[in-house]
Amino acid sequence: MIGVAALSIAVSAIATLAAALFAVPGALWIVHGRSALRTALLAVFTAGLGLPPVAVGLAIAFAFWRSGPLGRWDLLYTPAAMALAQTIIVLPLIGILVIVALRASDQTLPMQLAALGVPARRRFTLLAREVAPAIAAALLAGFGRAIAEVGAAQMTGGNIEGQTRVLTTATMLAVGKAQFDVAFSYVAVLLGVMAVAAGVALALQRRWA
Amino acid sequence: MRRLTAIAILAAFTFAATAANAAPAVILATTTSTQDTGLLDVLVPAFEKASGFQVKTIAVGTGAALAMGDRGDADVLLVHAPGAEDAYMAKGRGESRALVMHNAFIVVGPASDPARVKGSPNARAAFATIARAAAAFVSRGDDSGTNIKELALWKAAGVVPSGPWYVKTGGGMADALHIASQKAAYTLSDDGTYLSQRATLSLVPLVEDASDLQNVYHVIVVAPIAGHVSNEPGGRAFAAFVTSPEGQRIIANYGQARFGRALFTPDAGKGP
Amino acid sequence: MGVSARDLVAVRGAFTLEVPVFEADDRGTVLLGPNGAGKTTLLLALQGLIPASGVVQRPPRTAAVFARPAVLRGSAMWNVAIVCEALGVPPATARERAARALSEVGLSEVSEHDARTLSTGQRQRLALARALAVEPRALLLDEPFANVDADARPALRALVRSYADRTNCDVILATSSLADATVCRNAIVLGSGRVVHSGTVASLEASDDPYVRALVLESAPKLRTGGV
Repeated sequence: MIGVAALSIAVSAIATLAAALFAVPGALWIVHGRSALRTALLAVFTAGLGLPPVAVGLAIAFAFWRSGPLGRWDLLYTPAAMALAQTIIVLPLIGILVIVALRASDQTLPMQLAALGVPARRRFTLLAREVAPAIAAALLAGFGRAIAEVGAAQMTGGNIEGQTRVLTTATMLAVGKAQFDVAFSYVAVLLGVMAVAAGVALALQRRWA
Repeated sequence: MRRLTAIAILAAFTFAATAANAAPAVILATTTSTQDTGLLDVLVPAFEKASGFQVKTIAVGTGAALAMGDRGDADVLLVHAPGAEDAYMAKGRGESRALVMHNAFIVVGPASDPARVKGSPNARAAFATIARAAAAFVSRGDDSGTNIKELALWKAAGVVPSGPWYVKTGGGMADALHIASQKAAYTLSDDGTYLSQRATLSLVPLVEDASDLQNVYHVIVVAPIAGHVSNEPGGRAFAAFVTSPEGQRIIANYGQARFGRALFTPDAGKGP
Repeated sequence: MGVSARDLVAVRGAFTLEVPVFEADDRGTVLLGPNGAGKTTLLLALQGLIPASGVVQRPPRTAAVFARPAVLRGSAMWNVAIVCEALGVPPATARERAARALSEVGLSEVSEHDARTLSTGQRQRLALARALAVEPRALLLDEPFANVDADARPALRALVRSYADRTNCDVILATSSLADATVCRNAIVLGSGRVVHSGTVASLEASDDPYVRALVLESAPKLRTGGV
């Protein structure tokens, strides 16, 4: 159980952070950048929000199984493949949430900072800092979505005992074997993890408010 | 910014650590029934310990397992659908095929047996009876070995099953058993899974030990495809292990402790 | 080097501003004109914040302060210091400058308060402190005292004036109050995107532009007794 829970947390945490690494700068660029390509990225984020996780899992399985175009990398049925799937699933969610927060803050702030001579990169970090509480909430939402996902996790990981078994796929297996008490205990742990994550996010928000 | 970079590096390391393998793992494609009975939970670690290979067990239906072998996405297959296996070997996608073990299928149903299936001389007769009575029947409908066997039995009975009495689930064997139990329906199951679930089911075996209920497992080493990642030595080693005296001993003993009887009968060397 | 522009044409939405010649006076330039005349557009163009054709020159450190100042999540002190730090000033020096600037604009008591809790007038003073703290060579101000209490304005005007005198900084001040005009020597009146009058502040009295006449009438006594 501990191994399964630890793997769930590790894979989803890494996926959430990786997604944020792209989504937060992406959101900043969409709201405050100056290229015509911004609308394209916004369309990608918006469409991605409605993308079924199972479709992402299938696409990754397709790409990475040995007969697939990227089969050479032998990445299927590994935690890395699962984390990749979760990153893709969670990226649009984090992006959109940060965009909403940025749009709700003072839109003249970037110009006023530029008017004082603050260089562009520094402006971006200051603007991100302004919405730090919203970013914490977005990370929580992303983590929740990642760790609760089962279809893509099954397809990309294979639910291999000791290697890629996570809380959600373990639950499905237990149900399939009609071991309902085991299934309930996995679900209980999953809920516990989410409660802790929510607590952490709340604490961060309070600290940054 | 520095903290972000540290996290990124940590993430990259974790990726690398989990993704990189000195040699590729051995991908074993097998059926949900072998996984659900728990046999693989004993057999695979024993093999890994003895051989040093790392195995990735992917439990899908027999049909899907054969398809994986076809594509070169697996190194070795442990399946139970002789007809489909013959077609697979005829295509040249199998380097070798060996008999491993067998257990039996059984026809189970509600104790009240409304269609009067008990006493049928064999499975196809039982199926014909069920179809005539339009009694509720649960099919797995998932191209698994059990499903393939079930469809073959319908064909032998001269019946095309359709109608509200014929229900297709999409899950594994244990799932199907529980659904049949809930609906007081008949179904075809392997005796290993039935045994492991019996305590929570209200189904009883109605036709057993018939000549057309044999459930035979073979291990097939997949012929590697040039240019693809594969682990042929690992596949061969696994096939050798499950047909070796030690592997066969594990198979013969599996189930004694938990269910009081063995779930499988080892058959290596007894035939094709 | 001061702030100057030649053949400046800036388009902002449906509005076009045309200023053939602009030369900031080293004793301060005030921009006057009704709403929508182009004062803010001119400041934005001079600071390079909107695209404009023509030649614009300004010294490397130019700071602009706008009508509704935006503040960051943090104390007033931090708001001023972080801008200095972003420009390369070491943190300790930045804090010193921030403290000094805040005291000069009269915000010392609230320097540790969250900037978002400040009143509009306090925010405008904060914005001025923020601009002065970076020690600019040119200062562009857009209605900087509009929401500040009338009794506090003279001190702030004097602050801007003395900073400019001390550092030889060009001040360009857009306003609709002739009282602010006394901070500067030169005046430019804009109307519908064009320069309508250009000359010393003192010469405004003789202008026949209707807007200017209205301004003069409104503050006639000040113009007679105030001065450069």
